[in-house]
Amino acid sequence: MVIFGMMFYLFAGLTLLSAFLTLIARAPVHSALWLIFMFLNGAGLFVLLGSELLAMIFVIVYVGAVAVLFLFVVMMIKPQREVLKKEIKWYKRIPVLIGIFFGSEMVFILGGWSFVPVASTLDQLPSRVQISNTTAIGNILYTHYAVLFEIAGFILLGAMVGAIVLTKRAPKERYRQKMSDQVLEKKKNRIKICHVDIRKGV
Amino acid sequence: MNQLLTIGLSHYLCVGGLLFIIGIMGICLNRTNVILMLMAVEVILLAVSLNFIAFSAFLFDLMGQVFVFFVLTVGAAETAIGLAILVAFFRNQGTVSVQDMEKLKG
Amino acid sequence: MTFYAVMATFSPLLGGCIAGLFGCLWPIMSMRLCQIITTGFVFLSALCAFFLFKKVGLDHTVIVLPLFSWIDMGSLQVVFSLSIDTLAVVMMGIVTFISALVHLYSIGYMARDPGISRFMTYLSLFTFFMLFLVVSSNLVQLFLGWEGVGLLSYLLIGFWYAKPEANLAAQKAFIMNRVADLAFIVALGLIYAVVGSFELPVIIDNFSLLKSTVFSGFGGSVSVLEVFCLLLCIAAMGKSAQIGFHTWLADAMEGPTPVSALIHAATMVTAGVFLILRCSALFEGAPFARSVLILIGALTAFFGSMVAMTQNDIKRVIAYSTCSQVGYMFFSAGLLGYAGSMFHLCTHAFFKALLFLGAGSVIHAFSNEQNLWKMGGAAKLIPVTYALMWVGSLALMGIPFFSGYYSKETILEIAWGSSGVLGSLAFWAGLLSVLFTAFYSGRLLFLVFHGKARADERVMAHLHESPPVMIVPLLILSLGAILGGYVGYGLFIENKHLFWGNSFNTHFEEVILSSLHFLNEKNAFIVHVFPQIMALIGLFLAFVFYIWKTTIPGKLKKQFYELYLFIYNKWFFDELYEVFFVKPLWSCGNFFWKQGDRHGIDGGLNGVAKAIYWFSESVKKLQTGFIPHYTFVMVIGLMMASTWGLLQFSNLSFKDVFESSKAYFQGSCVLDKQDAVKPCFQKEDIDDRNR
Repeated sequence: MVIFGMMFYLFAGLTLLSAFLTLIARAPVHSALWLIFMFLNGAGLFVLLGSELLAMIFVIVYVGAVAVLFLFVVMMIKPQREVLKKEIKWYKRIPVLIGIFFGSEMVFILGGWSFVPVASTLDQLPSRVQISNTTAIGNILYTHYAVLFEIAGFILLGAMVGAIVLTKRAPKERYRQKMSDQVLEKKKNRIKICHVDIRKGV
Repeated sequence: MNQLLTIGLSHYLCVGGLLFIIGIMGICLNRTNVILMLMAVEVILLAVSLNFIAFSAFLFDLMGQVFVFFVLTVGAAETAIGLAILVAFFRNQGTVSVQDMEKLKG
Repeated sequence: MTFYAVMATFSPLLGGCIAGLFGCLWPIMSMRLCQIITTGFVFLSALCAFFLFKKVGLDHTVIVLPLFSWIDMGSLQVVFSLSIDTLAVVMMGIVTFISALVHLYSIGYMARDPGISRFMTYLSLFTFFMLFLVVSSNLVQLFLGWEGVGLLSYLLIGFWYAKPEANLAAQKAFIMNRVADLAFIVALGLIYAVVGSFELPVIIDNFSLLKSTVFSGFGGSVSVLEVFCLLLCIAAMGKSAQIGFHTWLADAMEGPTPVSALIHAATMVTAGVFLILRCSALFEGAPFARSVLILIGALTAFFGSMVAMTQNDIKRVIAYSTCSQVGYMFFSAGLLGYAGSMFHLCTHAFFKALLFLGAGSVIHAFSNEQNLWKMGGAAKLIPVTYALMWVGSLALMGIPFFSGYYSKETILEIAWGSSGVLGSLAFWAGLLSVLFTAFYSGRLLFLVFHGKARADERVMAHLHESPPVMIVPLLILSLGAILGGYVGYGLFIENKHLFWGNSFNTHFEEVILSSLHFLNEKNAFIVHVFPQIMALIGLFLAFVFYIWKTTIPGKLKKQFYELYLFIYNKWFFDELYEVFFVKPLWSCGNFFWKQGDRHGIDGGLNGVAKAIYWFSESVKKLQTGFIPHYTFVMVIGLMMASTWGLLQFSNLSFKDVFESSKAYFQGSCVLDKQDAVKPCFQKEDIDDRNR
């Protein structure tokens, strides 16, 4: 139990810290790296909650794909050292207000939340029959949620196609051979016969 | 001490909420780079996922985890498209600074 | 019979439609083919009308042929029908006959015009509408024909639409007619309100009802019949260009000359007279309306002939002459001399059409010159036209044995024989008009054909007789102008009871003074000889003024300059209208246009548009295009949503929240509130899984 507690505090603290650093890091590359770190710690929290499958997927998808994508893009785009324009400097204070607002709301919620009475009846987890988390998710994902799963696949396909279309450059004009034009070409269209006087030039 | 080390649902909810607040603040805070805004969105998504999984675990209900799965899908798609738009934008405008994106000005 | 009636009425429509709809298909329908088709159909119509005349007029039958129901709404029933009695058949004969000749004449006259198919179409359609007007037995159908001829008149006056004067004249004619037509519409409404039907026989049957229904007010009362007849009288005045509404007729001469001959002399302007004769049974019970008719007619006869003496445009002279002659018909109708009125209508149609077409021939010969003072000495060069114009003029003057003599004589006898002040007024006005008529006719003839040539040499060298296609109709018309009176007198006047039958169905006993029987020997001189003497004096004066002592007109003009100016400017009618109607209406319209339409309506709409624009402009500022603003708005929405959810789904009051959060921070932890729900990662579970 103690180790659990300590692990939780470790992961939670690192997640929050790295999330914070992600957003205030000067260089975008650093941000991306902190994001990766945040995801790793988040995956740790997932493991603590007993959902290993999602933890692994998080690592694979977010750390392996999304964050790397971020890194790529950050590197593609030339780094900009920008100074904030004067008229928008005061916006810097807004996040603080927002944070205070949501923080206080969170306190209210934590102070008074409870489960709805029906919550205890939502017992879908077959933990009692002692199967692993992955198997359990697989069992319901491919049965109850098969359609949604397919739709998710299509969303990813659409995103892929969209991303390719968006980033593709327009093809340049290319020269191509046209057989019909070549065959149909007439002499008079190409050759002009001039009678040039001697020593006069054309 | 023992009480503190006994981890309940509320602890996870606290972490999720704080992550969410950080994400929201990040969206509003950042003015120099749109990529960072996208990253902040990822932070918010993580916070939501964490909440889902926490409830799922404490209620013995797998639905939350399945939902996280879909959230993850959509998040990945959103990131891909967002970054693609960003790349295209950068190619056209030569900048991804938030404060320069004023083309929609009425 | 039925076949003849339908053919007579509808074949001009058919011809007009063929020429009008297919006239543009050039290779198939050449201009010549258009002319032949329309003329052929109108001739066919004339032929049918001739048979009808024989059947109806001479054999005394009446055709009533309902075609189809036009309006069928409850008690309002209007049926298209052909109802041909003697009056209608005489009018039909005149219309189709003159129209056919004018069609024929137009082939020559309009030979070089680019709009031949359009012209022939209009002429044919006009003929159709005129026939439609004539054969209708109800007032609505009659009104349709009435408006139809008005429309075609407008189109034909403005036929040369490139000429601004023609357009203005067309508009003037149309507007003047509209003003008068308003009276017709009101009359229609009135008769429907009282009688509940538009059928003329029904209306006439309800004569006593109309007579006994009375409008009272302003300390007096007037019967519906009087009002109705007065309204019809106004409508007729508009169509027949009687004084007050006459101004459009002279301007209508901007149209092509065949149009003037057909519409503005022979047929359409007499539609007003026809309307009165149609409703003659009603007019008998409306003495006041008849007095108005007499007064208007007499005044117009006098006025028209007077103004015609000073006009310099050959067509305008004849136009005012038309005005004056229709005035005769009016007062004759007012004096209950319906047969005389109709008789004069017929003879007038012949000789006036002859005069107009002859004038067209003259204009043609003088290379489109219309000013009398730029003509002259043409008698030897265009002898046929010369002779025909003389025939027409003599008929117009009422020289014995020409047609005009009989009809005018009849009318003057009626006027003389009728009792009352108005009758004698009409007689003396008519008598004076005879003098004026002879004078202006002589003036026209002498100026055009006699004396020395005032046109330039090029025109004189080019002076030529018109082609046969124009001369032949003139010859036929001149036959009518010579013989029509004699034939018609025997038919229309001497045997009038037999001939007209029930056309002029009178309710009273025959009050109309039979012109021949009434006169005693003592007065015979005044009525029978005096008009001829007046006509000869007029002719002689014209001869003196324009042939013998040509200086006299100039001197007289100087002597009585004001009078001359008064007559020359047509009694300043146009100017008075300009001041009293046109200017106020103009400024009124201007006011409504500028203040009402532009500032009020347009301003209102523009104001709305401007307000929307302004609103959008200000709302547009919200769209900064600046991403942080959008995210900020989004976050505000999120904040509001979360706050709402917080308050909605937790039964928390703020006090509870405060209490519990205080407790939380004080360490009395509520975190374990959910201890009942055990997390699934309890140590044993995990150990189990790891195993």
